[in-house]
Amino acid sequence: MDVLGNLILGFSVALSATNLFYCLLGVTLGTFIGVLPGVGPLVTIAVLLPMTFTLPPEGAMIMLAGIYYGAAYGGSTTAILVNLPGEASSVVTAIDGYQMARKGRAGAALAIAAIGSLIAGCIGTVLIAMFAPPLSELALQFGAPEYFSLMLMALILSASLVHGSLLQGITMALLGVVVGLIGIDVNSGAYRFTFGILGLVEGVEFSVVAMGLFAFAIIVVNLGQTTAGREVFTSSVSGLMPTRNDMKRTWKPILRGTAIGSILGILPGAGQTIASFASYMTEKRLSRTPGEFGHGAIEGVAGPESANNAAAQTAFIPTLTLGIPATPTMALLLGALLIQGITPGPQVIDQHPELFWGLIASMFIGNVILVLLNLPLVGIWVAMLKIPYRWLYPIILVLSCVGIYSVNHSALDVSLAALFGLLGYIFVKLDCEPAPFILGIVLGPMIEENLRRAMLLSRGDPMIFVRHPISAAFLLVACVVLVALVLPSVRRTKDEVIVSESDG
Amino acid sequence: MVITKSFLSGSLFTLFGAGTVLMAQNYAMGTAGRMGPGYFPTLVGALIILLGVAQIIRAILSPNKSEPIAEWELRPLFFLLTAVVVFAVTMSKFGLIPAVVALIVIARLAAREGNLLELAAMVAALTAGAVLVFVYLLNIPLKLGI
Repeated sequence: MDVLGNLILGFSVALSATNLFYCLLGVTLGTFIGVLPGVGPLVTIAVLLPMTFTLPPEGAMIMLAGIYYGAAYGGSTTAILVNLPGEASSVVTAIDGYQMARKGRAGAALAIAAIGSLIAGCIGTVLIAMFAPPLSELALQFGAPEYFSLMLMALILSASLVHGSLLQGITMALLGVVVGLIGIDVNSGAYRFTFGILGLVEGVEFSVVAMGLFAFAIIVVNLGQTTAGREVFTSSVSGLMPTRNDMKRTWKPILRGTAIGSILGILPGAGQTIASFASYMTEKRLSRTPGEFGHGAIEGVAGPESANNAAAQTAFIPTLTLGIPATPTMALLLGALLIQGITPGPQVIDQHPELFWGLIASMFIGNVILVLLNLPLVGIWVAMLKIPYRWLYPIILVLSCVGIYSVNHSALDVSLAALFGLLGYIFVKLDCEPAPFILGIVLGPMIEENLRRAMLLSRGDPMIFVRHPISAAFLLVACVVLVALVLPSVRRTKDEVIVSESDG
Repeated sequence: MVITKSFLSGSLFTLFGAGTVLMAQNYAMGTAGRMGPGYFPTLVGALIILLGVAQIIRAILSPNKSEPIAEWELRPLFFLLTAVVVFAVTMSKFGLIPAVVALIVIARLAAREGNLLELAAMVAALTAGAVLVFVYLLNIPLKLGI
């Protein structure tokens, strides 16, 4: 079947009334939770994930896709209005978006973010439809060495892009790998790091860690801070539609951002974050008035938001074709697939075409619904930002706790989330970024598995990773990134970008 | 000398790595060509120790690059985590309604603002909401507890 025929199949699945409803529900809920300050897309998805478990596979994936877009857009809204980026990739949006909000142009910033996301999302979806099938053919030829090197590269990329030292980022990733090893070892049947607790034999549920690390730890930090001091620009959200001049200034950044994001999104590890930074730097360099950047340049919102969204879109390519989650968020989506009884990997497209193409079609629909929903409803989201935190955090808590419990009906899971909350709090206090840690948990077991298999093939000779050309290429990329970051000039640029974000 | 964040995290990393290596010695090591369950954890643990020590050394050599920890939010930390654990126990022993009530009441102690009336309203609204969403809307078979 050709791409067009497949897309028609997909739309026939996604446009059924029930699935359309799930998509709408997902977008609405995703935006609703995602807009809460301090709740990034990852937590939003983790909180809403259990809601999809009782749905049929197509409905579940379509609702999840909706949640995913809603959460991402909700995150940008908070970044623009409150200067609280929910995750690394919307950090750049906060720089100029917040400045625009301070100048009373919050409406235009929000609208441009939505329009940019829509355009990028649609182009990104077309790219998935075109490239996922051939890539999955290629992926079928990947052996253990290729998988090992690819995941190692993903881990190193994500570790090197966090703020703070490279050393610390890599150590955090390794800590995650160890936590990921908890449970039964599939090769030998040995129980590892279970401390004699039977509930740990199956390993630690990833959504449990995400909830503890992100939701609980952040609530504690927020509660400790005094409530005053954060300006929320809510009264000034009027004049939602961007002016003609805005559109004229932004259509190029949107397209450039989309191009940058689409390419970088395929890189597992930190595609979205690099994409939004790269787009910001590009726009700043190309701008005739670079001095405006950092003081509310609309290009600084349009470019990175498009790049971010395009990358979020093309990140589905490795996730769906290789079964390797490119980001922690993707790992959650993969987990949802597993719960539906579908093992992600190159075979998904052949074995479940209605699911794969239905998902792609619902990405289109999700993007459109997102814009249709958010342009008129932005007032409601803004009003939510005015709700005092002492009312918000119990809602997040109840949703998270009941959500975790209902996955396995396990009190241990909920207590573990509390434990990871403590760990996450310590990480925050020590300025340790949790993102590589969490990716380490996801990739750890797969890395070990493929390392063992590759070494078995080569009878203990580690040169196998260099002798396989694709594997060697992945390792080379990882090395180049590592070496580049040790060079003082590159490190300074990275620090500059990332520091300005956290203070600005 | 001042104990900075990076010194502390380096020390914690090293301890964690050492614990990993020690525990991994209980599992069969195997060889590089036929790795046992202990091989990979030992390898990763050793790497963590190495990187942790490197960070400690760097923290001692240039203490100005990192600052000491400002303050710990002990009160919210304690009450929030307690609330979650109490929820876990109550949920499996009794059911959803008492568990959500306990969760909100204890978590409320983490913040100092708000009055009793507000708390009561919140407990009522969120408990009803949780039952409605999870039990009726999502059809998740959770016992209610009353």
